[in-house]
Amino acid sequence: MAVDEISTVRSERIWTYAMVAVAAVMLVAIVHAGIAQHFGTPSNSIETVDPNTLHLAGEFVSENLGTRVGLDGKITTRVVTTQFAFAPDCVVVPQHMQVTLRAASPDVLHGLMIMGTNVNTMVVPGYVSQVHTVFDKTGEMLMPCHEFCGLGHSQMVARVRVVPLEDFQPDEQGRVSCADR
Amino acid sequence: MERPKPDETADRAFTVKVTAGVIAIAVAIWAVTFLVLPVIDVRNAGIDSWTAICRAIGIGSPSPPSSPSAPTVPVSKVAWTDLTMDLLAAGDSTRGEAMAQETCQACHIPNGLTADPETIPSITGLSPRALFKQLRDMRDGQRPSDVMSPMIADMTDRQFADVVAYYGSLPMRNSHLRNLKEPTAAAMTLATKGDTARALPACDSCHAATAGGPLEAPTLTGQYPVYVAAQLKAYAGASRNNDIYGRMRGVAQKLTDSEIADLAAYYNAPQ
Amino acid sequence: MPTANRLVLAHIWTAFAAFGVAIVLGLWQMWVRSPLAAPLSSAENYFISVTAHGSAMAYVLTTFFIMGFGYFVAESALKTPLPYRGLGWFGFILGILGTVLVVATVLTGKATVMFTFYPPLTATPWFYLGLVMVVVGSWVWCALMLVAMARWKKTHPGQAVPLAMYATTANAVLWLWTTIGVAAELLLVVIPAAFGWTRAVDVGLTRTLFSWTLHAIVYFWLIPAYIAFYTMAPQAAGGRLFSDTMARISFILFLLCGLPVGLHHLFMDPEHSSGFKMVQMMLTVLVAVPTLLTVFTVTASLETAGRLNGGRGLLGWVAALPWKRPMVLATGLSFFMLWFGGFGGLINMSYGMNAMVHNTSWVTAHFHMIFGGSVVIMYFAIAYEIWPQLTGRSPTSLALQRAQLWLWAVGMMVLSLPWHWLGLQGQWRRVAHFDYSDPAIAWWAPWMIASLIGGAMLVVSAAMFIGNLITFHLKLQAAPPVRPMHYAVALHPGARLPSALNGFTLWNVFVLILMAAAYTYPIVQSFIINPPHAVVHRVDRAQ
Repeated sequence: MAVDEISTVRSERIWTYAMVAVAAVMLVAIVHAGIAQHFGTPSNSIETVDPNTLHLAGEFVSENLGTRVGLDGKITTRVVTTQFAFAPDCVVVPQHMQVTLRAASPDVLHGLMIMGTNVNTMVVPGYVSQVHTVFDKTGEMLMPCHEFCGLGHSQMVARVRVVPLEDFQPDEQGRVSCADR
Repeated sequence: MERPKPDETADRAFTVKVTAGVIAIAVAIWAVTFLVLPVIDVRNAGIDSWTAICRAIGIGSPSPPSSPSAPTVPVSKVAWTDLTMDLLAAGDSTRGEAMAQETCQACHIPNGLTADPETIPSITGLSPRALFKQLRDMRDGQRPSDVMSPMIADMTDRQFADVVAYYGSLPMRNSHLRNLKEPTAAAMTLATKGDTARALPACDSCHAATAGGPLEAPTLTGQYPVYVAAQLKAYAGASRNNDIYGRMRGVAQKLTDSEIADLAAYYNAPQ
Repeated sequence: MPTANRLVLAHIWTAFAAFGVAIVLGLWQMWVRSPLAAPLSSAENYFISVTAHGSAMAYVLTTFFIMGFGYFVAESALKTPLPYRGLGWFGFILGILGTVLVVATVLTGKATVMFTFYPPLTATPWFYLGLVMVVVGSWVWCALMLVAMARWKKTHPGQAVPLAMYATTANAVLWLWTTIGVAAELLLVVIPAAFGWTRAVDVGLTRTLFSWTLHAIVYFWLIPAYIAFYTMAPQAAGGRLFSDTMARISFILFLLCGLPVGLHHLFMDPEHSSGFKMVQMMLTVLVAVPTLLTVFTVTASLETAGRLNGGRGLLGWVAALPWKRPMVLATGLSFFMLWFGGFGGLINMSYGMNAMVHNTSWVTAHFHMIFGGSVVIMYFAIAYEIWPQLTGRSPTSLALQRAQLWLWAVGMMVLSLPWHWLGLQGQWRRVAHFDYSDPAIAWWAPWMIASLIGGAMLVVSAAMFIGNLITFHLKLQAAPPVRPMHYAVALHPGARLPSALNGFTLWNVFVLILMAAAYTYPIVQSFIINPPHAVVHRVDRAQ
């Protein structure tokens, strides 16, 4: 065998440095994506909300749910994830515009994702989840609950309808809903 | 431990080296995360460095975005707050029984079954939370009832808590009627499996005895079929709408009339 | 002279019995989810089955196998009888009673909360108490491993603890740290709620505490496979371990970097700041290092063996390896799956890319590939390796063992590659029934059926495996005398080891510091901001 001790140690050492370098490169790539391309995690500021009184008053009462254009022109879609449906179970959003999705749960743990996009967050009772995104393609997409929330979990699916900007017509209160079309 | 000195020196040198390495890596990670990145991020977020650092740690929430303030008329004023839970926990079934004899048993007969299965539900052994919510909603106007609402108009939440403690303490009785109809396989599928294509969860995921669904969901086993069908139709037509976030309206609207009849029969059948 | 063989056999047979039942449940679950009509399909049955499958595979198979294997290593590597064997039986009985409680509560529908609990969904307290008993039983094992190693060091001053035992003890130390999180979650929050002493829980806190356990537990499962890579595979291949020091450093790195990384399971959660998620993501990147070191050392060890066997040229040594030996074959197959699994893991841990795959089938596919594939195939190989020792009988047929290993690896690829693909396309998790009439997901149908076929192959392989083990016990007498267990030794033994690499004191101090820095604030935060609690939702009776 040509493998003497010194060459063993040397090859080990080279490999170790190479692997640490690989790890470092991955790290830099991930951090770069996070900072330069805003490729981060949802809800980077922590907001709490009482799940038990969610329906009584405040941001997540039924009347406030769905998509709204604020006075400042910002578009916010609010949903409540509950056993075993989304409220509302269909939302409309415009193409090519920044949309802020805000979600809360009145009962147990849920999660949501919009298929074919990078929208993905847990919805933890006690907290508000928030995701910013831009929808590039028009059409209807599924928004399922992706975390076990009870025996009806499998049927907890909502729809997201992405429409061209010209078809996105808010009413006088800034609301747009699936029922309007 | 008798070790020659050089070994101890070598050990110490190794320990020092490794400790320095681990500390250096840890300090680098924490410094990059909590000092360098927040300060770089300031440019994107339009906040000062100190706020950015606090936010990286998780301290100090920004004020939430201006939320719309629609005039709010909650579909139910019942909420499972500490107050409500304390009240229910303090419910006294002895007092509740006395009150039941005085007020309820003409219709709900002493064992919680019914004087008329066409219009009056079985309430025996139902969960106190389910009963409490309906009593509150009937009294407060979210589920108006010609008979019940005037009858309980003067009752307090405390009295409700006592009454529901009493009915909740009764056994689940087998209240099934002689079946008008055999439960169908379709009804059984809806009850135990749901219908994914219509986003209909299995009815049992909230209404079985071991469910884990919403706190106010009643167990339907043994309930009278005419009552169940009437309630489902009322939800479908939104003449009953005291279900929080429309959870039942959403389900009932998707059911056909024959499915409603089948499900009502299914839950009344002995299981 | 081994004295604990019956103890070892009792543990490992319990593990594989649970495995044998759970894998059939797994196949049925795949069937229910597929477009084909499955019998007994209902929402409750499905989630009962998922809970049982997860609990059996993640808690019973792993814990009992690792305990049994640890007892075996303690005797065969240290060449001394296991101290306090009676306590080992005590831990075993505790674990069995706990398992019985878990099985009984899950199968009666009183604990349909998955093996990851998901408060505020709350099962009967007996389910959680059953799991606590399994964990406490495993703590007995941890203590015995620590005592066995300490005693050996006392009688062998200045000598290096044999690698297999050092790694096993590293796993015991890791497991003690790991279980702190889940123990705190269960004992302080979930069990009081299950008994009705509290009626609401801080969901964010429970998730944080569980995340403490959630990642390190996979290294607990993985380490026996790594022990086999380092100490059994080179031996079986006819070579030597390339570097003993490197091996120790790898196990220590698992201990250091495997723990303060659990928040990467909560990247998509709203209750933590981006800062602590980022810290733990960076530490997660570091945990790739010991795996890559292992790949190097084990490959180099096998290369040494291949060249000793006459292999020439750049890759000639690969062909020259004794692939007929199940341990060598399993190591090769395990490495193959490790590439896929490791690649998937890198995606999961990447802060941003995680958003594409979080809670999709990608994740399920990932841990089936890396745990069910890379790790469990080594459990099989270890069993094949040590069964002659435990039973005093030689195997009936190595060909059957090899066929079983091949079928397992191929089945795992057929199962999990379509699953990965569907996950990448957005197939979400923990769902009993999909609506294949929806045009958005109709195209999933053939992929689901392909995956189901993979599942069926795994069930056949599992049956072959259990059959292969049973044949040992059916044999009347050993034909040739079984040679004693021999672990691979280093290519260049002799150099004195720094004492830090022969113990755990220093590393425990580091773990303490890293865990304190990574987890103190995320846990304490719950008490500072005091988020509203969520009311318990009972799954074992009407609300």
